[in-house]
Amino acid sequence: MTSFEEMDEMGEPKTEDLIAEQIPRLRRYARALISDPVKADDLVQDTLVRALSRSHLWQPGTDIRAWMFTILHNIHVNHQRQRYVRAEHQELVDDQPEMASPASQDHHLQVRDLGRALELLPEAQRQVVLLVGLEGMNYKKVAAVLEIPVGTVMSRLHRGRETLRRLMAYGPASGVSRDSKKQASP
Amino acid sequence: MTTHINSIDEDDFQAFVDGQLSPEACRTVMTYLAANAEESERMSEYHQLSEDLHKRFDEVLYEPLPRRLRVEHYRQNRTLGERIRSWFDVDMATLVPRAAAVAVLMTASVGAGWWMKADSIESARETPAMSFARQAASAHMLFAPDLRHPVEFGADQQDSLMLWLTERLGDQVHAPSLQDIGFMLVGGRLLPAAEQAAAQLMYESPDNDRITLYIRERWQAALPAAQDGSVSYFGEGGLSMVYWMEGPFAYALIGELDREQLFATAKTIRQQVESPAITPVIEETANTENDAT
Repeated sequence: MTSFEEMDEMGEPKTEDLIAEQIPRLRRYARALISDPVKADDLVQDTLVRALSRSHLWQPGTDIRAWMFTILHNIHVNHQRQRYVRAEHQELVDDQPEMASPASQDHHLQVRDLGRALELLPEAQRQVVLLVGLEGMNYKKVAAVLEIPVGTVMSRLHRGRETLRRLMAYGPASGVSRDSKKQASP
Repeated sequence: MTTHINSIDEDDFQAFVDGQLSPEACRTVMTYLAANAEESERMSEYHQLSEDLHKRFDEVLYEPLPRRLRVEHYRQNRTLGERIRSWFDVDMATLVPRAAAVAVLMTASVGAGWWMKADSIESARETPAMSFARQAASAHMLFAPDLRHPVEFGADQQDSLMLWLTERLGDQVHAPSLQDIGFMLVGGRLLPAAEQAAAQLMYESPDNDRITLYIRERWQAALPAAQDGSVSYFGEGGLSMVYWMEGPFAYALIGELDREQLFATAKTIRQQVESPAITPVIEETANTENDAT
């Protein structure tokens, strides 16, 4: 029989502390990714629990933040498989930027809140925009966390930022500038 | 690497905004932007976007973390009180907001009341269920590891023990037989519980794993048959507990078992508590045989 005293000694406080340090950042990201704060915290909690139970799998010296974001992302993907309601709406915006244009006029003055604008973004783009813009991760790390090629990171980043720029109606000339000069992008 | 204006592509622009461009490439992009106001404007808007993300979401970094997002919550070496509290907190934090929302839809007054109750939990007030669970778990942790005096009365004095407990708890107490699922009765004891008496029965497996059954007067009047006796589960850090109310008593079963084992054990107990007449007879027979040999 294992007593609770014995179990104390099995703890690994060091990795635990490193994990704990990441929680506020994970929470910030989750809050931006999922507008419902309770669901966002659910995601962070699941991430925390999994990270703690697998802390022995983390290699000291490697980037614990990237490791935890990868866990968060994997859990999120699993959650998403269960709730696919939003996805339909997202694909509409994702693959048909032309269709989003008239809408952007409606939003021209309305979408002042960045949180709302993010919600209108396809999730795949939202993830990249947040990991780069909010987390300040480099592209390679984003690619690793999301398990996608760097090229995909770049194109999602560009598209995501363009949509947000239009939704947020930055600057007086923003509506015009978008399609006029597109540099050769693959 | 040498980057000519012709070879600047969208990736370079993004990397420029994010400061992920080599100094040389960065200079090339800047030269280009100096001559192209529209693109320059676009870059500054991208940059503004990242700043706005921080303005909008950085406040989350400074919000106090709820208990369920703190590492301490999952540590093994927390006090029993902390464990029990957090069990209930997890319950409240994850279940109540949604459940309360439903309740509000059903009946505004009931929903609001429920919500307020969940709020006041945060101020560390114990519900009857919490204090019951805490007492049951305390008793388990105090006596289950005890090698010399785990019980007051051993199983060899089961009859006297049950008489005594019945007398003090004010209703017929039975010791369910868990022999079929590998647990032998060790014995039991009487415990103080607020202003009442509680009973603890202890069982042991051949591997010396001990589980305890804690019995006390129920804190809530009997519900309609369909709702009464519903089992609540808590588990964390190896220790788990199920509790339920049935007949005159509330029961808590505690041990270092996994959820399924614990539920199976609780089921065995409940079957016998519902029809207790069989149990004492079997035990008596066993005792008599022992006495004879």
